[in-house]
Amino acid sequence: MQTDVSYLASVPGGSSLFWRRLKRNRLALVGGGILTFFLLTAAGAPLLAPADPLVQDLYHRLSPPSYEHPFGTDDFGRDVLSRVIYGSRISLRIGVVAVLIALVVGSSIGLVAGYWGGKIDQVLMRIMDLLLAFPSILLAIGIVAVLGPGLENAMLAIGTVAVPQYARLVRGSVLTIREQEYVAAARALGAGDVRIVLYAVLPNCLTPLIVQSTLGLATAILDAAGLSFLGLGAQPPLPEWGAMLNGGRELVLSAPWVLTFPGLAIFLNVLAFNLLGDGLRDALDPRS
Amino acid sequence: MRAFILKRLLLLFPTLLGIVALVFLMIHLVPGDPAQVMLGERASAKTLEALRQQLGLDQPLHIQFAKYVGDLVQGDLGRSIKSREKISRELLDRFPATMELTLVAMLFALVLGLAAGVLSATRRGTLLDYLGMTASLAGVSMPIFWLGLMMIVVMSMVLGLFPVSGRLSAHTVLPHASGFYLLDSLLAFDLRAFADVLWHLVLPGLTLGTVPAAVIARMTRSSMLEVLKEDYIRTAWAKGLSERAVVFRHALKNAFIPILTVISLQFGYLLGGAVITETIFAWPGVGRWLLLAVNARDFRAVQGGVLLVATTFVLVNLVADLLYAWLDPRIKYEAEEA
Amino acid sequence: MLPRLVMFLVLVLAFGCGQQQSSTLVFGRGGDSVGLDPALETDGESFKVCDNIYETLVTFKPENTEVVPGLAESWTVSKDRMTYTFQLRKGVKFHDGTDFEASDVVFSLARQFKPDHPFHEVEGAYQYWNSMSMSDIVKDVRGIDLHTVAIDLKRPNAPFLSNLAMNFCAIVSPEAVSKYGADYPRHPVGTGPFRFVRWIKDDRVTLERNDTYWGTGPAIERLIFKSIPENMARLIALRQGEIDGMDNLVPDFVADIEAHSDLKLLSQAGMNVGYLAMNNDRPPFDNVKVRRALNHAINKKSLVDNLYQGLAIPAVNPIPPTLWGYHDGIEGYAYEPAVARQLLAEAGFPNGFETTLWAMPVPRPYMPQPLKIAQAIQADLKAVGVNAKIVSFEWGTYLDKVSRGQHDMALLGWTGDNGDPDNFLYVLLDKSATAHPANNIAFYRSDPLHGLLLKAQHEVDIEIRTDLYKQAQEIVHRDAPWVPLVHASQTAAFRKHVSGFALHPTGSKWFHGVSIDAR
Repeated sequence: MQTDVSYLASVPGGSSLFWRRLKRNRLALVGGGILTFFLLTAAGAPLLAPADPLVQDLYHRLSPPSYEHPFGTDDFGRDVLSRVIYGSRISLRIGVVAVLIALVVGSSIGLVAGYWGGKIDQVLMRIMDLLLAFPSILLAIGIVAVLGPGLENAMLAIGTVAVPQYARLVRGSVLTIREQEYVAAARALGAGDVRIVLYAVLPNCLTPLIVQSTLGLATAILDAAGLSFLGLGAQPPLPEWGAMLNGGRELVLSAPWVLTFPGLAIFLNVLAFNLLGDGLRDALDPRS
Repeated sequence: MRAFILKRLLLLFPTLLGIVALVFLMIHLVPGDPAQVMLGERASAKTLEALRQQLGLDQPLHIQFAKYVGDLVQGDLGRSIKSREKISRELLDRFPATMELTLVAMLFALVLGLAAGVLSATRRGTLLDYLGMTASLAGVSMPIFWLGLMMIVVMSMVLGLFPVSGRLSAHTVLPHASGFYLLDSLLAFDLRAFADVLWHLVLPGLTLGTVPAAVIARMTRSSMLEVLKEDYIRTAWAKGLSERAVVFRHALKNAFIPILTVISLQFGYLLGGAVITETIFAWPGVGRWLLLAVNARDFRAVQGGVLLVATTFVLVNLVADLLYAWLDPRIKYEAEEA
Repeated sequence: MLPRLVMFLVLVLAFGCGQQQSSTLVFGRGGDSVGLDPALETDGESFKVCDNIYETLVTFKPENTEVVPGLAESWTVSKDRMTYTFQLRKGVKFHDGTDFEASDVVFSLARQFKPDHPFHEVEGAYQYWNSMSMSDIVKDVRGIDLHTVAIDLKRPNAPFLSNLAMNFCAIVSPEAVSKYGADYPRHPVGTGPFRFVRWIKDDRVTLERNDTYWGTGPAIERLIFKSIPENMARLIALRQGEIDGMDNLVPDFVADIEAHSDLKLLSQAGMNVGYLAMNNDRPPFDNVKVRRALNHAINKKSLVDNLYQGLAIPAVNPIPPTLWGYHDGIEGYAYEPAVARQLLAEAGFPNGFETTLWAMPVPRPYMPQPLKIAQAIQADLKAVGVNAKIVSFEWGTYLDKVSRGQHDMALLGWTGDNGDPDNFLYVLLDKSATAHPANNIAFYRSDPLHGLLLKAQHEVDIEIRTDLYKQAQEIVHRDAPWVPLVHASQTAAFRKHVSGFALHPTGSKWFHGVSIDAR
């Protein structure tokens, strides 16, 4: 995951090169397209969803896809299409919050560790290594076990688990840049540490961070759905995709649409993030 | 080489200690009083106090930690609240089930992943490459629980090819020796049981191993592509070596190191993903037990389970690191110079 | 050790020839047993297995709750109805080879109430004994001679003989209890038609035919209880022949089972009740208006039609209509959300309130899918302004926590054990059942009710008792500590080649009359 991108800062027109290469990658564009679609769906959920995702209609439960209910109804007579549409909001929210937590906390740790070095660096990185010694899903489950099941706790858990990756990435960038001439120049001119960090160091980490975040969103959504599937994340009646799969477990033969569509939604979403992330990374890679 | 092994082994202890410390701290992150959470508001002050004493919560933190480590060294992980059994006993009973599943899944992931990756790299740009990479991209994006359920639908219910859950058919009798049923059935010379065990391992193994297979395939491809560009490969071609010799004896061996990183990381994924897979397939392993413990708010049990899995992961990484040294002479020399 | 080894080798060889399969019966259930000491456990999964390992002094007829001889061949009751003397069967042996004698009966019962009995203080309490207030009823158990036992009561108790047929009064082997101590629930030893072989937690319990059984031995060689928590997986296992029978069918599956000619469905009106208990100790459930409001808010008919597929009837009273003493004159709280909202407003909650709704994740005879019921109820409650968060725990933990009153509202149920209304009303709703571990999880305390129930226990005349129980039901209806939800049909499904199994109103699963026809 670590890409040395410091060269971009020194190559004139480096950024536009990056964007040009990205645009040429068709798969990445497809991913971007799917994502845009999901974002629009999430934003326009109240307009797009034909029904209230929470209203039950028990006498019409488990109806197959029809004109009224294009994705059928679930175990409680709720419209699956509406639930999938609203579910996109929840999934995106979880993903964004979790990645933000990891990004902010991780970057801060990485910055501090990389810039100040010495004992602080060692201690911080040891802690990061410790977190990485755990399989990530396991750690997330452990955190949720302690805090209690729920959407917020799941977000916190997934975010926490991802912190080390961002910390390492930022630290790596910082270490490379720290020795650059313009930093020394800036310091000679009397610029304070904070200024240097904000204006010189951070912007150079930006592109790898974007790549990492995009791929991280894929993992976050997947993990959140997994936790909800286990009953540890989103609680009923929230229309979260993983929770919907959990509820549909027994209906696998009798009403497969309850499982298919939410599962497909997760899959496409994650796929899109992966495509985009891959494309971003390839566009950054100096070797190809 | 020996110095490297020693150095690496020594690194093990602070890591393990760190894991123990983190797991130990878990119970202190519980909002509120853990004893109260476990027993509820109606619990009398006496029972609360008794549990607190049993958990050692009334002592200062460092003494609690010392006691925790002391107990651990003796193999005492406490008792499960719901079953009243020793946690170490329960984990030991279930550990072989999880390990057997994980190893089978890893085997599948390795075979499929390496094969697909090598094929893609050597047939770069062809339809095969494109298919392979699309499949692995799909694999990496696949929610494991969806995959498991779909497997059950298609393979078990529609096609009736594989059993839906469990490690054994109810009719099969196996003497409980190691707990690794594949091994046990062979030791008992019971081929029918062996087949039965294998049959039950297929779906969960495939489910668990798909994502790692995809990740390994991708890494193998990119690593192989790197290596295939190298000069010594061109020399090998020029010398007229067969494709098999070039690819396997030279390229793959040198491409293997980054792949090894991915493999050992994927082991972590397998251990974590086992929780979901075991739940779907009613597999009596540590993962499913852990989930039940979480639902029961049995913190001691959760601690024990997390500790076991994390330790396993650390040990696997250790083995991977040692394999590194064996594969890459440079690491050996670096370590010896240090 | 050696005979075991030989037996195993023979089994393996025989198995290799594929013949043993026909005499093993595998029964699939939704959860694992909690423990196998019949006096310590309260859940159906534990009792299912205990039913086949242990025996009681008296037992029920296969088709109803009429009491017939068990380990006791005959008995006499003293004129004042305070002493029951039992003549025990001779020549009965425990699974560990020891003889069955009067002292074993004394041990099995005395340990539950004599404070100085060496096995009185165990891990866990004798829950049934306590919740049925047996210590207030039983004065002493004494062995008269090798095969005669007398039980002295403190007061006449009409259901007493029926109570002796219940699991908690099963006779255990004192030698085994002494040997294993706190570990005994994992090593049960009884006198029943099957002996315990092995228990792989969360997977299966294996029993084998007891060749030294005093009666007609079972036709099947091995009986295995397999835990398959996933309802769909259990059904598939039945369809594929991996298991030979299962219970607690998900109503949605019934049509599927009936469509398969190699499966047969057994169904019977259940002697059970599924209910939503409101924790009367916690506001706002201490307010009767709130409780009545919730009774009006829940659409029971919809639950029965949709989530039970008609395999249940809406409940009005805590006891099922199949039980004598049922008050059919009581009209239940109708489904009227508007009335509910009004009552809530009167109680001071015009905008509703937040609360928790507990549900268990395992299928029960009275509720095959509690989490689904919970979600449907959650929606009904939301419609009147009550926002309930669904909380769930693993079954053993769930029972433990609700018995400690950690819930606001909880789903639970009860299958009658002995065909007496006392078994429902006293155990579940009397104020004495609120002591830990409580069976009265509504923590409902009513002195008038208590008086009525005690009186009914003392009475012999069934007409007087009926009248007393009717009055009791009126009180319960007025106070509405629960929302009684349903009385569910009992169901089981077997593969066609299994014969001789009969559903029993108490939910007991006896397998000694079951045989497997050649496939």
